[in-house]
Amino acid sequence: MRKYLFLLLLIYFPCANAQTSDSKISLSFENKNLLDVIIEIEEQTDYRFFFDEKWFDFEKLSGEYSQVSLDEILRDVFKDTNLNYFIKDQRIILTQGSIIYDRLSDDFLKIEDETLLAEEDTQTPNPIFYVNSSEKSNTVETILIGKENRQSKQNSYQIEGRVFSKQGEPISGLNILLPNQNTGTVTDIDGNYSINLPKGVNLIEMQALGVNNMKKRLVVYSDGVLNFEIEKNFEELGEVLIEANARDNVKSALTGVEKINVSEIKTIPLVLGERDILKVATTLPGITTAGEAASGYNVRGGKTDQNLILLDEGVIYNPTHFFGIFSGLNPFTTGNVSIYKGSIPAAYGGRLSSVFDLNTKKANKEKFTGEVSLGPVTGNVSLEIPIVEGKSSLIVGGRATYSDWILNLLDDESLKDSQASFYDFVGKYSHEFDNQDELNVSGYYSSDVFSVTSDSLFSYTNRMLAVSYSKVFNEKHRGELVATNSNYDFNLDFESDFDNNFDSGYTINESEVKLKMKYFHNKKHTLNYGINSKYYNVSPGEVRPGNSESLIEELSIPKERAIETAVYIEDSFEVNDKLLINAGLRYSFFTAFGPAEINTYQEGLPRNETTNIGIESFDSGEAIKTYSGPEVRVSGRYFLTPNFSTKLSYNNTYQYIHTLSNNTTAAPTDTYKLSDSFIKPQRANQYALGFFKNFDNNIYELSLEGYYKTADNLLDYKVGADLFLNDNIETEVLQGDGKAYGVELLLRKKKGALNGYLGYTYSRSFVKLDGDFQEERVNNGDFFPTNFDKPHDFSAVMNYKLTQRFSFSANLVYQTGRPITYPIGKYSFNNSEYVVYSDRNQFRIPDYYRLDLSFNVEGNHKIEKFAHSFWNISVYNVLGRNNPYSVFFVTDNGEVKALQSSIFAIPIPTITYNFRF
Amino acid sequence: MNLNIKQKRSFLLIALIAILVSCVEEIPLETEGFEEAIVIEGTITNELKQHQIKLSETYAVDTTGPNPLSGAEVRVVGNNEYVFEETDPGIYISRDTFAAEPEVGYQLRISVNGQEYESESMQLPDTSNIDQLEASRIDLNGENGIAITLNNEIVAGSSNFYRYEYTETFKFNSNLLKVNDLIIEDGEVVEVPKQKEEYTCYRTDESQNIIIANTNTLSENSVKDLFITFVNSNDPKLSNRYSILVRQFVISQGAYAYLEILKELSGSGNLFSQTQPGFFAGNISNINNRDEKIIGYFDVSTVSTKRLYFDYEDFFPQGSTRPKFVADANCAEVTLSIPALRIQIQQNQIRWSSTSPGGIFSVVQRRCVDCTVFGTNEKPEFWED
Repeated sequence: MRKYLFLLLLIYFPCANAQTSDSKISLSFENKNLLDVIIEIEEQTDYRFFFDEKWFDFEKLSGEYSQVSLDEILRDVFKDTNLNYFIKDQRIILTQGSIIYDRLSDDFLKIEDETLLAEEDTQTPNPIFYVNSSEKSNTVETILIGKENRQSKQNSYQIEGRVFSKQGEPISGLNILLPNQNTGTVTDIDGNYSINLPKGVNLIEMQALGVNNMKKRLVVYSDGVLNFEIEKNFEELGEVLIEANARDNVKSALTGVEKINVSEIKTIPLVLGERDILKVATTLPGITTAGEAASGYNVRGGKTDQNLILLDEGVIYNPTHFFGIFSGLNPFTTGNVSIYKGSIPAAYGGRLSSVFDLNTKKANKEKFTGEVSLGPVTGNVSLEIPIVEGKSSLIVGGRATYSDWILNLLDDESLKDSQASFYDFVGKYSHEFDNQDELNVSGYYSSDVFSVTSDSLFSYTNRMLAVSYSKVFNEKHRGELVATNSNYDFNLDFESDFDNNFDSGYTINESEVKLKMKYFHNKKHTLNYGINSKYYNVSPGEVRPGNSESLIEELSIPKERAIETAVYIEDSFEVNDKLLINAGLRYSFFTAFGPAEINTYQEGLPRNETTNIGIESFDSGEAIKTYSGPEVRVSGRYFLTPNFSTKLSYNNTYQYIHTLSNNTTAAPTDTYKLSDSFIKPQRANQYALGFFKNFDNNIYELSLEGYYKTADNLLDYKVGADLFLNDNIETEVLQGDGKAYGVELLLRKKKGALNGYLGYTYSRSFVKLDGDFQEERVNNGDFFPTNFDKPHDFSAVMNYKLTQRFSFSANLVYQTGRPITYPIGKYSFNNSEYVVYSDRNQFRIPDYYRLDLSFNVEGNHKIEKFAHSFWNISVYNVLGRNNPYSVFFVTDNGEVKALQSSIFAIPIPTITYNFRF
Repeated sequence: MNLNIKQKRSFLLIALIAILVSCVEEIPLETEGFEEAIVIEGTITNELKQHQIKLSETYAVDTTGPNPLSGAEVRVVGNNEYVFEETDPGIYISRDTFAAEPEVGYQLRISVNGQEYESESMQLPDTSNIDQLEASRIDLNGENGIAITLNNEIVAGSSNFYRYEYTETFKFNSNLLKVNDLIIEDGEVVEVPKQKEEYTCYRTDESQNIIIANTNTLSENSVKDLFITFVNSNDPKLSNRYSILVRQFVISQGAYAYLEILKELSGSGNLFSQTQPGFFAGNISNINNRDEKIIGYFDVSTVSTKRLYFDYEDFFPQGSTRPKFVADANCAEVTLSIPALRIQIQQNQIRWSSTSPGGIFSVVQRRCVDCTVFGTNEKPEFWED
């Protein structure tokens, strides 16, 4: 009844006479807050304001008005607030958010008609009324779905459809919310959604980053289909840096999932202005690197080879450029990134610690668009090209350095010989068939060439091709067939003044076929199941004489071949409104097969040359060794309150491929080795518990997660192990146990002038190498900290919007220094001094901290221009902190010296320019 | 988007700065705890001589060594037992002369401080002789100089692992040849004819780097063009006559592996990735405590040596300025007051340069005249001019 009265009140307003302020006034104020301004106006005029002081913030205003209407002043004064005003006679009524109408909009009348219609048609006990409650927008479109059927006793109906942008791209990750009921849904990657709405009037809100928020009023009388078209909102892009769908974090059953919306990372200051998805990921709890120039990522205390990095389902072995300073994934063509560091869905496997699932954007199918970015190190172009309008399109992106060219310009002799350059290229073609089937073809190629000394030239390339066909069998059943091929190779060419020139190389190639099925059984059960199988072909190393004079002997380590197959099934079971369980089982098999010749060693003795007693030969296709095991993936969510959930998960994982590296940090020169008779698969268990809370209308997200991990058969190496071109790798490896635990706290503010996130992680990571023999033990067989064990890790990523066009961003990072092995003594040997080292990783390099700042300028929106521009002016490491990357000890002219290397020891200013058309 | 060339160039400059940002600097070596360990250096060769075993202990990183280990009982057991006696602190010399013989296992046994240490039993490897030692003038990493390279004989057997040591000896002259000296006689500064050879000297430097080679990856079972050392053209070593004696040790695979790790861990490494350092065991252990860390490797080697001589003129044109220990600019004549002159003479800091007709002495720094500052004026016994 109260609502009804309010409706009447609203209808009454048109009769009231508003806007009487014809008289002109003059006013001048400087750095006053809103309240003072209002008092000023009250003093000058007869108007009186009605408001609640609590609505005012502390922003200072300045202005100068001469003989202007009061209305004009008020419009100015309130433009940056969430306050509306209404002038009635000599009274000015301020309202927070809501607008008091002095006339009804056309929509309003239309709605009125429909309501009346409803009222007339029904004699139900609950006539459907609605009123314009506290809505910010006065143009909420109302959509009627179906006709009311008096016989129907159904209380809710299913509405489904698809959401597109005006350009015809599907909008994924859009939240469709029922604010009054605290429920909602999210569109999938193709923009599809489905939601159950109660009968009658529903106000729905659509929110996502990068699109304008939109509200619709749905009057629902039956099941129906409703497609939306939404306007992309570029002004909003800078606002929130990393997003999870509004309630996804509390709602999903998975623990330890991070989502990065790539289009929103552009304001984050990064070194040399390179927008970098994976570097942004490292600002999130639980994801770190060993240092600024370390290739690879450590997720929750895992090694760098334990991450499955997928681009459009295809594996990318080395997603870094220029050692590890830049990532190799194009930020302009990548759509969204999900990082699973806790619960790993059963569909993924083969790595212990995490899955980085990156998807290339689907190109705009209606309109040719493009984006160009120029930074100091690279130039980047991406284009979205419609092929058949509305059906198929192509996105291509390419990036290349100009640094090589610069080095060549220099007169400096020593630099002229050095080079460092890279480029990468990515493309994706998508075609949508009439029957909703879809074909996607993606390709990726990256290349790096660098030389550290003038005689050696290193190069590596990644190549990936993925073809996927997804089919909708019926409403309930969908499937996708994917075929991928990934290749990574690494070369070292050595050329010197002596007759020992050589070329050497390493290649790993994998081909995989996956069948991924999804079955919506009913509202309570959604099943995912499938099978995948991959074939590995590894050339562990070969060396060829560099020229005809070279005395180097040609050598090729025999190839390794293996098949890794897995089947999986997973049920997402909504037990009740509060409890959601995601239970999956994956079973993986691994077989290494011939042709091969495998060394055999005496039992009960350490493996080395002297215990090598023979060779066992395997024919082509003959199994050398088979491993298999079940992988359990269980997680559950329980809502404590609608915006507060707790989650629990358990995971176990198997990994059959390992990097060979005797470096303290990962390097691009690391190679991969498959499990074989000697090297057992790595295994891990992870238990995680999390609490997730959203408050203030999902503006703030708070999460607290804890995990405990154990691992078996982690691969490590004897000191000084020679891993490349070694036929007897098994004599150099150690396998041991690992354990890691941590607590991760993340607070995110998703909206407002100031937005961003704060993350703090306390984590530890240990390994134990306790073989049967002295030479297979490290630190007496006790647990010791891993090379990337950094207990305290704090990151703040902040963005402050001055206006729609100008914003400031800042990153602050603090990390405990990583462990190193420090000398604890010196000795003389062979006329020189050498150091004797402590137990492994007993000391730490100094703590790491860094502040980066950037200032961002969006192009002008006011005029319809050909291109939309964006400037980013940033300074990396503003404090000029000389963060040590490593400390090492050399014997130079017979004396021991301690050297410290740092990568970016001084502030690095950068300007990047970016435009989109 | 209208970026003109000028703007582009400024972008590039920024990039350039960035490439040069990464830096390596020397930091003080701090003591972070200390652990004692025994260091054993010992190689028995096929030369008939008194062999030497060196024992020392580790010392703290902020101190200077060496830290010899005295009072040990050292024996090598092969066909016979050879007893070693301490001649200098930490230096143990075999009482008898002997040469290692093929197909005999030799074991080092040490007892010190109540602990017993034993090496694995090692055998003499095959022999390989240095075939050729060559000097050539080349450019290496942007520097011009003389590279010394080595070839050895092709061997039929399995001696694949080599270690090299070298001794450089060179003849050099001081900047100035002066015939007189100043001395103080009865409190007076007196000019007398020079008594001591101070113009031509010799100096000997031992190699400090670990030089190892193997023929496993090579197409022939011999070392070809192995880089031994490089002497920059500006180095005074080359200024007159230079000689290098290279000793080749054929070593065991184990010793090779040990030295390779030592070399890798003490090398400059790569800026971006560092080899995991740590303790690595040799072939010597405490028989009662296998976990005790012993540094060093006991090996039995065959040795071959070769010496090479060359003169400055062999590689550099006649009349070109020879490198010197002291820049000529630092050898200008000065005159000093008598009291100052007296002190300088007493402290052996200056040398006579000339005497003016008025009897005023002009002097130069001692190092410009006296080559014994940098070497010895005794000609080595082996020296051939």
